[in-house]
Amino acid sequence: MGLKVLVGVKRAIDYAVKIRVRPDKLGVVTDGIKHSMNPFDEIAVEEAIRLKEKKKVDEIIAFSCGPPQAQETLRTALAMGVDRAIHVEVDQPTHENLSPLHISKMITKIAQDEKIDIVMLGKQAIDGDNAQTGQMTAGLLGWPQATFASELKVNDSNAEAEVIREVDGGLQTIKLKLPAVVTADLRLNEPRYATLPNIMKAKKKPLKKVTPSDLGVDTTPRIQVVSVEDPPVRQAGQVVADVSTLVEKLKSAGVI
Amino acid sequence: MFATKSFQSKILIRLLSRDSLVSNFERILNSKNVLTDPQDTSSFNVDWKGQYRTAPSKGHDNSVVLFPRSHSHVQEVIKFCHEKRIKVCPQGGNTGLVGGSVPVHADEVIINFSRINKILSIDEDSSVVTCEAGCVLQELDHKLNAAGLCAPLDLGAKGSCQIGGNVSTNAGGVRFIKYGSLRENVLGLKAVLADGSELDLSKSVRKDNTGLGLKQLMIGSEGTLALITEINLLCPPLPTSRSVILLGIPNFESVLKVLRHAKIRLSGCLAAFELIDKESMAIVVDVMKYKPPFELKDDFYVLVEVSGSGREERAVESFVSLILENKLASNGIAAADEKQCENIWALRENLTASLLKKGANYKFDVSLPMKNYYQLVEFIRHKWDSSVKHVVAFGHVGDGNLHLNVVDFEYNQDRCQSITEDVFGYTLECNGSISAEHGIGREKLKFLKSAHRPEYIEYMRRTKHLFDPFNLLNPGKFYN
Repeated sequence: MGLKVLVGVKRAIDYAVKIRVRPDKLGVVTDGIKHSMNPFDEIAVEEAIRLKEKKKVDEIIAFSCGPPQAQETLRTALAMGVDRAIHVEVDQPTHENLSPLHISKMITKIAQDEKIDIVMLGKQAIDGDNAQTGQMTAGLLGWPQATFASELKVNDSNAEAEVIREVDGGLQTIKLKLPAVVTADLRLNEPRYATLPNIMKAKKKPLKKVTPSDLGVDTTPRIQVVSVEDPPVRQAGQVVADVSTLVEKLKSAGVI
Repeated sequence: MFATKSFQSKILIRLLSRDSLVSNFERILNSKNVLTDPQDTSSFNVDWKGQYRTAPSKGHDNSVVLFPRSHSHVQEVIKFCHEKRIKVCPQGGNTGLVGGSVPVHADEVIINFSRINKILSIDEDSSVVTCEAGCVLQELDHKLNAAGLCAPLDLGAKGSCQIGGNVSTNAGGVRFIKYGSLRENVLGLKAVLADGSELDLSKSVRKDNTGLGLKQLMIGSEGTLALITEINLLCPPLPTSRSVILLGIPNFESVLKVLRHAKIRLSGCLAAFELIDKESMAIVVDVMKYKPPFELKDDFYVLVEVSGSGREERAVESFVSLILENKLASNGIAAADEKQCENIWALRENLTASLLKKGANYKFDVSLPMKNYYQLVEFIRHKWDSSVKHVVAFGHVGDGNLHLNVVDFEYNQDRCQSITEDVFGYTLECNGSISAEHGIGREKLKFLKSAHRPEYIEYMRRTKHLFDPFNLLNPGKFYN
């Protein structure tokens, strides 16, 4: 029996865009700015599809929570090869105030309802940089977790997975029983391009819309953003004539 | 009568020594804006390809390089040079491909515009930027981005080329298909004439039908009629989103059909339509060690870029379904994010550099009627394939502009000459252009007479004489 995979994808500001802080200093400018699928989520989707191509997985479901435009991101996942999608629709203000815990609760409910075997997520979103959703989801589901995965292998019986994780000291290999949560790191794979025929086919694949209350999730904000600021402007360096001058300057600055 | 006058002038004017020359320039410009040491001047005395180098002459080993800081500086320098009959070579980013930006002889003086680089104003309502000629194109573009605008042209050399040089050569590039030529986007300019007087044609309005177009004469005149110092440039709004598609197409007929559909379905948002043929794709993938985005089994690859305010999805959808329904492409991918866009563009942008690694390059930049576009490539390939390493083709097929490159095992003067004659002969027979974008400079000088009737060249010569009777501005380029 093949496995069922749920992949979480987030629509975030494209990594190449220059970010600008909003005039009210409570966030960044998102209006009219290019958005695309969070790069780590792309890697998660790609890994799920490869497992399907290896006949380990029977069905892949993509999930995203966000305003109507989140559907674009789900369509991208469908165009890459995901089978169907679930869109938890919220309005823009609600979306801005959601935290990883809200998302984890949504994923948990869907994973239980759909009898998912592997929940795959990007290790973190490049806008929030929280890196918490995968871990919280595993906690709520009571499942093992393998985060920062750079390699994933599912064993022959489809009951266990072996994951190589990128950790500070190097690489760690762990074995975990399925069902489990896996979060993708950069070196897990290189995502494929969506082919044009698949992009057209994706339009006909099922995309179900639900609300947070359908999943029993309360979206009341748990965190309030107090302020958002640019990092301090880098001071110009000084060029010194020789080493003794350098030592002098370091001494007078109290550094040595 | 003219000939006698210049003969007299030559006797009357003593040739200035290099030292005397330099001290005069230092007086006019300040010594920190004058370079004379061969160590400092050498990079300005050779072109980007390393092919054209200033030849020692009349006691000079290399040309002195001047860095005026303003329009009036340029006027003062030119007045002095005019008085003493000193020849000048205007220089921007020195990225030209036909040897037009370095002197022929070392007794010419290089006037480099790098320090005349201020943006004077950006008018967001008229979408016009007024800037000095030495602004580097990429930097200008970035400053325009902050005002919600972008430069109307984009080329590989953007990190170094200057807008003044772009205008003097009527540069083209990949955005030509969307924003048109500099001839329509330059609303006005300021220049310095051969005698140092000012030519003030600055304007920030789009429509001006008052008399013979002197501005148009200056655009593309390659620094031979006047030195451009300031430009009023019309800039399009900055697109907030773009999509990039790469198609694998089995034959050239289908490429033309896809182009026709693109022009209709993607009207207003089509931002690039570039061709890469099978041979060039194989080379760029090999040299750069890229992973091809799909299995490379087609004869042609077309890169289509669409850009706009983010509402182009329906247009792109209708274009893509038409292509698929009519089976015009056997393969195709669409970029999902900026990184994938950049990776697809890298295939096209790194072609020139990759070809250089394969051997000596004979490069041709021609314009042809669409039905002859690839026939030229097939003709050259059929005739020369067995004698050379590669015959490859790529380019702005959306505008009918072909970059045909022949890669030889090593540079062979005779072979280069014969191939050039074949390419240009075929091009002129179809009534195409032997230099679509790159200009004449030094490299295509000898072919000018095959491109135009002698009486037309005489008109050009007389116009040059009208503006520069002593032939001081960029001599040895553009005209015989």
